[in-house]
Amino acid sequence: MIAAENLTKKFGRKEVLKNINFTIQKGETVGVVGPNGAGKSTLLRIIATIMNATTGTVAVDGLDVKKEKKAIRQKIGYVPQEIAVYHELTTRENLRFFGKLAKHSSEERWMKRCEEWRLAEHLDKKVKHLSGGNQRKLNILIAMLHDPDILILDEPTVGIDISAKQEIVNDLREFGREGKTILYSSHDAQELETLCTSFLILKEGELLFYGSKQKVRQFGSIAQSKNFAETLGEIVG
Amino acid sequence: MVWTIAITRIKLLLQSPLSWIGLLIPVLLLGFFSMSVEKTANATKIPVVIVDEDETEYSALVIERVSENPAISVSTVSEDEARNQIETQKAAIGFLIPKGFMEQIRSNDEDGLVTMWLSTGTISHGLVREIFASEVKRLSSNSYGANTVLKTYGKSKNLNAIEQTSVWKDAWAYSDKHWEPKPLMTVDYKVGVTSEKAEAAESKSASIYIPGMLVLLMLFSFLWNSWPIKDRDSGMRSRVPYAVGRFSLYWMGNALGVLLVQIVLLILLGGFGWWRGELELNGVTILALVGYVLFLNALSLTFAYFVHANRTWQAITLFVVLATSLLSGTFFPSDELSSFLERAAQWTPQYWVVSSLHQETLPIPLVFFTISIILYGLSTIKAGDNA
Repeated sequence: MIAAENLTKKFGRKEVLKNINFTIQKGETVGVVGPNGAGKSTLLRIIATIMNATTGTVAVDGLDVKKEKKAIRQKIGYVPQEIAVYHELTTRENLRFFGKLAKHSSEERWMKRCEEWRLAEHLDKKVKHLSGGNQRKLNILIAMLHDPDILILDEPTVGIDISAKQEIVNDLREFGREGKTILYSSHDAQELETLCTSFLILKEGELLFYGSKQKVRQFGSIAQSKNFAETLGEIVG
Repeated sequence: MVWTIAITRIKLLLQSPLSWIGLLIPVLLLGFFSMSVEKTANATKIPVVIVDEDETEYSALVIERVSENPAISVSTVSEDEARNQIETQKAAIGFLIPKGFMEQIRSNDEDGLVTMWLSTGTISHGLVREIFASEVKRLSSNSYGANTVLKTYGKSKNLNAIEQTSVWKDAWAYSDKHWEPKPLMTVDYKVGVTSEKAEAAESKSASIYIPGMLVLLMLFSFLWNSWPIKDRDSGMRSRVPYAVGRFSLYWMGNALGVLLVQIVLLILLGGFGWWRGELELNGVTILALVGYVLFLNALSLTFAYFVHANRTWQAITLFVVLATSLLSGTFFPSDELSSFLERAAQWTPQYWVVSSLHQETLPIPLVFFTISIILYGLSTIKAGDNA
């Protein structure tokens, strides 16, 4: 469970998150939505213990993100926006490197994941020679090496083709079925609709909405006839 | 953890065959330049030809001692070849040591000892004549001294033949040992510079190997320590510390990886320099060089914290390496320049490591170690805040 209470983040005078409150239940797949500059990445980074909040608290399974970073990092896998891997090394070398750092990772486990995610045949290729989709997959797999309960993904499918996006979304759905919690930030309404069970909508640092997919349609005065992408688009503005 | 990161950094630095060549290029480059300078130095020496018809211990000794003079380049040739070289002005001066040279010296007969040929195109005869004459005179004086001692001492003591030979040899060796071959024309050769200063300047500019080695070590330290900038761009600067749990482990692991590759380069450059006789290696000089490399690693890492773009980093690398190398006075004696530049030299690490190599004192390497530790601490704290 992830609970945020009166969460505020300021960069100098600019307030990028304003008094945010929500509680995400275990096993939920939450789409974090909002226009550029809404505070999505900042919120995800605070939950992932990469950044500290200015005021307020965030608790992950009852643990304070400010005070118990180490314990929380064992529970969380964070996928940054960038493809943060060593492009000059092979897929296997990258997995082995992060596996060693993750402590609780085993080669057997990541080999299994690689097979599930169709990366096994690319293990000995240098990352720079992989397709964009496979690079993105590796970027996500690295965050899953220590088998985390919560996976936080910050726009993990930027710049790849539709079929690769579809593959990643399907693989993440499988991961969600294992009872894992997923926080997924994206601008792609279609993949959000396919993957997410609930949504957290931010605008100019404020929490506009947090609730299930069904409730998104009922939010405000948006007509039922519109499709999900249009509905999201109108809410976000 | 630190080792895993360090080994991965080494792998990244040396992952292509090209980077291995890159590790050897500094050694080859420096070896080539060092030899070129040596050749140029030979080309500026006065060419001298000697014909040794005597082929005895004494004639060999004269040739050997004359050859040791850094101002001249000696070739031993036949008489025809010597005459030819003098006529074609390939040699400035020629000497013929005739048969019976040793015998004449031993009997203190200095008349017509050596024949000399002069080339018309040079003005350096005087200097070479002095040098050659000094060495011949030395042998002659030794023999004269030994003969005199034997005459006076041997008579009063009634020595047998073996004892006489022994006394003669001892007297000869004693005289030879106390001879100071200082030809008149080479004394105070540098006008306006004291002989002490001239000697120091000569030793400083004797070889470009050490200054070149220091420059290359600095250049590669900066080039290899560009990883904080690349890692920031790729997101690794936050991902790896996230996986490890502590920023300092990530920072120090990478620094260690680069340091180990720098040490390999130091071993290659230092070993090659030692093998070629350019560098004297002992406990203190090794410590000074390791301290210098450690300092460079810490310094470049601290600089890398401030820089955000690769191009800026390349410009800074070039500026730091060139500015410190020129100011340090390692390529030329800075004390012959203005006092301002002399003071500026003392702010460069190259100046101190060269001082340490010459004086072989322990405090300088220790200062390098201390500053490095402070810089590591600073860069870890500051970069950690902005990871």
